[in-house]
Amino acid sequence: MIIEVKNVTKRFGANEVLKGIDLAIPERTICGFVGANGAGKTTLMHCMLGLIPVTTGTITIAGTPVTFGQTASNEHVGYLPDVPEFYPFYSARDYLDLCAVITKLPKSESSTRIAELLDLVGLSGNKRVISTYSRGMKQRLGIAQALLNRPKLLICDEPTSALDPAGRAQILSILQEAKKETAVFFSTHILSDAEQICDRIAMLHEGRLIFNDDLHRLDEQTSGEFAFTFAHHTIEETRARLADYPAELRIDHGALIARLPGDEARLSFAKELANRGLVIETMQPHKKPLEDVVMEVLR
Amino acid sequence: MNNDIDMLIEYLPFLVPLIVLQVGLAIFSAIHVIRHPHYRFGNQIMWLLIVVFIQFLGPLAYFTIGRGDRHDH
Amino acid sequence: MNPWIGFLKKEWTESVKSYKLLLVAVIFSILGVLNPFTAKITPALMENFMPEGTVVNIPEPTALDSWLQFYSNVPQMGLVVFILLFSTLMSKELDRGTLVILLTKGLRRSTVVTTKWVIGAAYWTLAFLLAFSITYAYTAWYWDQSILHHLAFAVSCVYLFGLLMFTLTLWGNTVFATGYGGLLAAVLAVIALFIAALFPGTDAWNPIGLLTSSPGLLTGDAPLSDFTGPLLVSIGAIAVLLGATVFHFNKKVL
Repeated sequence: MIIEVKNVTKRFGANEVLKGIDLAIPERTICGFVGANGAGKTTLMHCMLGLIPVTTGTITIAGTPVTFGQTASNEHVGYLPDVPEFYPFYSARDYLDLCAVITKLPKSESSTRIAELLDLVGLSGNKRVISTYSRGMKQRLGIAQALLNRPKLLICDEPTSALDPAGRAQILSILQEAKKETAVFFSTHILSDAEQICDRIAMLHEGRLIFNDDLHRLDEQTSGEFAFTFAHHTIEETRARLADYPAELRIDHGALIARLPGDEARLSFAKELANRGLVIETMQPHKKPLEDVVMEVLR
Repeated sequence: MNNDIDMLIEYLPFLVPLIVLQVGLAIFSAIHVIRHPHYRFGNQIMWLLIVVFIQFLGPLAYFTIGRGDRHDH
Repeated sequence: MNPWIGFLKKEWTESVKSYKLLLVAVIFSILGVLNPFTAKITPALMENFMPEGTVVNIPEPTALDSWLQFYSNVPQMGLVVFILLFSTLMSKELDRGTLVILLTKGLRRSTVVTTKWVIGAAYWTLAFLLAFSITYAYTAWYWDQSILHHLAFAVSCVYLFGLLMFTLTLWGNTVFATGYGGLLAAVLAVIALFIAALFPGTDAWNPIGLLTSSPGLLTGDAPLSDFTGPLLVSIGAIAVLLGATVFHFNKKVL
């Protein structure tokens, strides 16, 4: 296991942010850490990095226990904060040089490794100082510094949330690439980002871990919902015609949402539509916003 | 009158370096104010007046609290 | 390169890029010239300001006047400017969060504190030597310095007091983690030391004596032994404050 979190609680004064978290992540996986803003994701990550002390419980990373303050476990870890801050007067290369010295990367290795990483994140050849960088460029430099010492675990805090769709896709593909060398644990409040690249999902809700398993298990648990639109009939008419059908049906954004868990239910629903002369125009799996998935998992 | 000129010459070894340093600093700061139009507060005119007319405390204030260090576009 | 040297290099680059080197060099050069200049011009100015016909007996300035100017200008203007310039070494990094990445990369927290102290102390040394050597050169040119006693020791007292103030500022800046935390600590400490100096007997240890009574060293009125207490207390305080800063920073939640 690359990460083992055992019964971790964290209180800030009277406010209990983490309520007994148990979490184990196997090596070489990309794990999406999903939860609404304020669910406690950053707090747990800071605990894993020894940046804040846990109230109770233990965290072990690659077999090394995490202690508050100076922690030996950090040599296995690369970390990308939600808003990475660099020294504005350095260029990307200068900054990575500093990181290489700090992480004690041998000089013979560091210059090729830095060139490699600048290539990976698309910043090679950029000689400008960091104060001129856009948010996306900083995020990419952040990934480069996090991967510098070939960590066994890459921890990223909301790496995609402040970016436009193009920047987001870039970051996700870099993370996918990084998986060849390291396990990735990244937090997001955008479920679809996690679904695109993750093997595994851990879901945090109000300080408790409500789901921690392979991605397809989450699908099994929550999916089975399909969005239909129909030719010739309005959604309301169709809904009325299917009023007596024994499946969960509702209307959402001009589409009929049917909950059809399993092949059996899907087949019989298709048959029923045919029997009643309803012509399908479009049909697709229904993607739900995070809050709905959370509600469903809680159920 | 003659006396004044004598006095001026007498103090020249002090005045030359003092003037060179202060004017040099003022000019350097003024150029910086113009070329980096980002300030934590205040505007260009204000900082120009401050660095040019307040000897050495003006440039000090500009470089420590006035200069904006981010290029937010 | 080891991490300590690497981070020191970053501190140096940062100080140059934020114009600290330029400001310190220019301001302390100005102060260095100002000391003998003020000593030399004061009698002439006094004459000008006196009503016509008044007979005044203003003694010719001496090397001592030049160094007394040094004693008032360097601590009052120089040190204040220096402390202002270096009062946000730590809080600036904490505000912006620039340390988080480096600390999780294994940068020792003590390295952060000690490199910042060393860079500040190096700047103070540079600033002090600059003002000292300029004042020394002018004074040697215009006056006879053989009337002075213990010049090197007397100015070292001012130097040490400055170092103490800088260390205190770094401590306050780290503990309170705000831009003015360090300034506040330094100002309060100076006020406290001045108040303490009002009570008899405190001059045996009070570091403020390094500023207020060391001009007496130059004239030969004060014996060197008077300064043993304040010197030891200052050195001890610097060591304790630096240790306290490291200790506090090790446990700081970032």
